[in-house]
Amino acid sequence: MEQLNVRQTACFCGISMLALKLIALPSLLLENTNTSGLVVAIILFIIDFLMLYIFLKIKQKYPNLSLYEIIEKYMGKIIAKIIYFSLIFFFLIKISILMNETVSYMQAIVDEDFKLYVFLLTFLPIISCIAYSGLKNCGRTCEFGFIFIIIGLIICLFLSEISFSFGELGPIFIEKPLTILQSCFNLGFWFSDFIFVAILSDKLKIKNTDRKTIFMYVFFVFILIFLIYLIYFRLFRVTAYLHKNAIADVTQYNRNIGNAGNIDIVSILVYLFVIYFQGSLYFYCLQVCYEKFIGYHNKNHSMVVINLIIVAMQFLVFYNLERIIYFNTEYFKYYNAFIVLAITLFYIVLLLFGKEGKNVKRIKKHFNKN
Amino acid sequence: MLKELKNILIRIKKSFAFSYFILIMIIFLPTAITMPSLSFRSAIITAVGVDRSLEGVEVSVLTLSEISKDNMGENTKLVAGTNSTVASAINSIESQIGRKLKMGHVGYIAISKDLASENIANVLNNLIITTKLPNTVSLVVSEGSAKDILKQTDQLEQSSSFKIREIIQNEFNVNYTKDTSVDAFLKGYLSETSTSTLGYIKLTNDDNQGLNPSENGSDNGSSSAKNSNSSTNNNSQSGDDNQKTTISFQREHAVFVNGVFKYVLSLDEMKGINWLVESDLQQILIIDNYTGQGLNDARITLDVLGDKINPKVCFRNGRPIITYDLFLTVNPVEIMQNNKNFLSPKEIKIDEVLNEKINQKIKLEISNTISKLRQEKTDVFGVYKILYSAYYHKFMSFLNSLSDKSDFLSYVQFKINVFPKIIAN
Repeated sequence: MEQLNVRQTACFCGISMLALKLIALPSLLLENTNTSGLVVAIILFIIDFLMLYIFLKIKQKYPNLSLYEIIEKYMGKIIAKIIYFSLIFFFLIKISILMNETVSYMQAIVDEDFKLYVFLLTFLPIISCIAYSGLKNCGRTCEFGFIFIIIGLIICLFLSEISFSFGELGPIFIEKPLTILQSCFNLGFWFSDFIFVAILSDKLKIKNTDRKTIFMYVFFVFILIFLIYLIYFRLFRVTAYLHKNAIADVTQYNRNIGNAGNIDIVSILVYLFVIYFQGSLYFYCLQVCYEKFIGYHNKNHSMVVINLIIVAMQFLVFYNLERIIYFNTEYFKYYNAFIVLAITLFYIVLLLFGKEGKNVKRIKKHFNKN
Repeated sequence: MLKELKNILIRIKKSFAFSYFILIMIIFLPTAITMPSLSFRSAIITAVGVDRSLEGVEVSVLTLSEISKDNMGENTKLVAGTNSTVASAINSIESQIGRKLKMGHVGYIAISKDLASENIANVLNNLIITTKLPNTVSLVVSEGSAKDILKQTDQLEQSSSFKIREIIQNEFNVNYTKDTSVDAFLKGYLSETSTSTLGYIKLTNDDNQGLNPSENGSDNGSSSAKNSNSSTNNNSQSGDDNQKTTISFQREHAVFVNGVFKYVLSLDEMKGINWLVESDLQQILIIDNYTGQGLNDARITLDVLGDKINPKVCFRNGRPIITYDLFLTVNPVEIMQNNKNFLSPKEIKIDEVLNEKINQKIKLEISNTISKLRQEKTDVFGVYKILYSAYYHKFMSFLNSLSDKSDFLSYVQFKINVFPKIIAN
């Protein structure tokens, strides 16, 4: 059976955190809640960490069951199919945000005439191919690329105007708590990154002690993201509406190296690595959800159908980044809240009241022996 | 051999990646081969000028031309379009040259003082939105017509190796800590004080200033400084009427409030601001009438290599007090006594008298600037931000207690302590 080991899982967690947070999100946080956007980001990160903790706890309780099997066991097949159908749509929106942010980024950095169809032609076949080759290959590639991403991000941090006092940031508790919570609700789709852990939980080879490793990776990535946000918030507090590509703007802005020529290549490489790994993970999750939903396991079939749905959604529903931001902050926010709450609450109930089966006890014994 | 090659070919054909590569080639190759080059489809713009005209606005652009030159310089053409809005003026330029304008290489934008008497934030926003202009481009205000500035800078660049965009970058963004980019302007405009500063340049007929190109306008001239503050002035000769026109950079800064031009800060006033903004910039500090260490009534020139500033805020009786502790690293470079070099600068030390003189000099420069800013009711060096960040609630209640909030600077008490240190040789 294809399985992800602990390092690969941790790398995927780290990349999932990075994927949707380096382009439009900082600007949206600032536009919504000014410098209190940092508080919004911290709250949403904490919610994500709690979700990850709960998912890993459930993994410990039901080591060889996926989300589908757990729902099916306790709530029946129909509910499981409804949830998985919702998850298909959830991942489709996530992948659309990822693609539109990348196109917007490429238009700003590489060429303003960069076309969406060109990107789709170079993105979809590759992520389909990685996902098609299986989870193990996917994980290995991600594990290999993760170190380059981290090094690249650290270089990006050093290229930016990193030296500043926190005083320059200004007070961060200037918005009312209700506005902050409203913003958390609106921007939820850019977070909730660890749902994949629940979906692929039967394919994760994780022991009880491995939770620490995963959280170590996750916290490290969180610190990197947070540093980028601090720099961005300090640099573009009021002109965030002009800086929709955070990672590029943060590295470009340094006036001290302004005459040294264009060094966007670092941020471009980092971001491209991230989107291809994350895209393949989303695609794999889409395949799993689709196959569970239709109850028919055929990789070729699911690959073709998912590709067609993505292309259709892209050209018929979300044309550009502005439109997808509008949809997400106006309508899909309810959908994200539903998915997150439904799965998390269900898991909390299971943690508190769920009984462990014989099979679970046997596997636990086996792990403890090792 | 042929059979082996055929087998390899069959194997490649079977692979998905190769088939996909061929597909991509079939789709894109014909278009890529037949498409004219980017430079024939679009005009690369190196500078933009915006003036007020009878119809509304006149946008002038310097566009790169593909025709090769004998020398290594860039070949540029000045094109202007006039209309009621920025977008339509740009459209008119595009119609004239038959190409779309590409703004990715714009070095600077000049805005005429006439136009700046209205809110220029709208003009800039329109420029950014219409042309996707990078917002890190330097922005300068010209005393005369922006179109003339473009003409003169073009002639200077044609006749010498000096690049105006580099001079602007150096004059306003490197020699002084005030960032004069579009982004910095909009940041100031959208900030709580709505105050921004921009570089200020003008055309003069003063032949004695700065760099003089030779009569035929093809050689680099020699450099001379106008005053002891070593401000660099660059001249270019107008070819039309043989009258020498000089582009003058006096390191002045135009101050804008709510996007509208208000007044000009002189070089000396900018110096006062520069002391209060932490930087690694090199500055010259001249101390006159120093007596001590074997010198009598001497002039000491100190090269300030860097400064560390530590602003501390406290409130007394509801009024803010900012204490700036200024830590300077200086290097004595010249000592003049009776107009003669007397002592090796390396031997000089910071004694009590010199320390006092440095303190007095810097405090005087800063207090002159603050007086000017108080008089004009403008906060150019971020006092609002310091107070707002340090004590948000106290500062807000202080502001609310004022009848005229824009005059808050008059009620802020400043304390300056300078701690000079000579760099170890």
